[in-house]
Amino acid sequence: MDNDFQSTEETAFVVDEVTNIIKEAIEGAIGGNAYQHNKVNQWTSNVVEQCLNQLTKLGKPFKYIVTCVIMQKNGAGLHTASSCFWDNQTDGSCTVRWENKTMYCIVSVFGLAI
Amino acid sequence: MSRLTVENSASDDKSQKRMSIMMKDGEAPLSGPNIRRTSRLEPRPSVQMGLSNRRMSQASRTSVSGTSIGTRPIGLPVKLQNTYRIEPNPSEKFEPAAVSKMMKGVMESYLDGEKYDPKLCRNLAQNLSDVIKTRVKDMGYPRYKLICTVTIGQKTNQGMQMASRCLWNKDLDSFAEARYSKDELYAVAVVYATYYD
Repeated sequence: MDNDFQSTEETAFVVDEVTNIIKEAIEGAIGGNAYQHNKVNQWTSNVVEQCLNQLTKLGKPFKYIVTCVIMQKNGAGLHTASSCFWDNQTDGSCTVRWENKTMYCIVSVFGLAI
Repeated sequence: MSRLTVENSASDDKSQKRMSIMMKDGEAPLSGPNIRRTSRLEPRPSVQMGLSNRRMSQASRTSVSGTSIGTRPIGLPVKLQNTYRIEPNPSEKFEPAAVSKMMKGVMESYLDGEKYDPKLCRNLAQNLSDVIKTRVKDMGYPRYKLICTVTIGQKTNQGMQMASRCLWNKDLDSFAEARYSKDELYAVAVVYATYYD
């Protein structure tokens, strides 16, 4: 190939890096709070917002999709699955599951190289 | 035995072209009596009437192989031209409404009548996301990367909130969403489509 595409740390989707961003965002938005119905809307927005802000600051050539689910704990089951049609070499995803005594929080980030 | 390629056949003179045809003749039995060649541009009927070693019409074959298109080996890398297109064709633009409708249908057909069962729902979520992704691919959005997420949950009066946010091209990238809720199950499916030229 003529083109010399970079695929180093600087332009790749680094899962560890993204995991840290997600964890920080969750801690920052929810912290030690217990489940409160009227706050959840705010929390989910804050988590995705904060994640996306930090991801943007990485300055990598990616499109990002961030999803967040917060569910109250009362014994109910929850299953999420994802399937992707993308370039395995460059694109990546990362999911963090977080919980405290009263709720679950599941955040997924998908990075699609441009 | 030299392979006939675009380059060397273009510089060949008439007699060498004939040579290569003769070589093709010799190779033919290897690929079975009826399959004479694998032509990519002009599929010719490979059924041969009469004796297997006889050619039907030498003249027309010469004219085809003379252009060297029909004799290109399959392994040769095809170099495509630039399209100079940076937007999807109007007919190939991701349509959230149509995709939502399809997703709704798929979820109803998979989830109707199901009771909540952890193992079953785990498989259902994975199957559903795969099926929906495949169906979207079949709908023909050739330049899109797709991400399909499916969430299935049990209804026990709990609170649940879902949010997503994207960094992408707002004009070309899009998403489609569908929900399902019945008896003791609920499900949310979202497909994100991002455009690449």
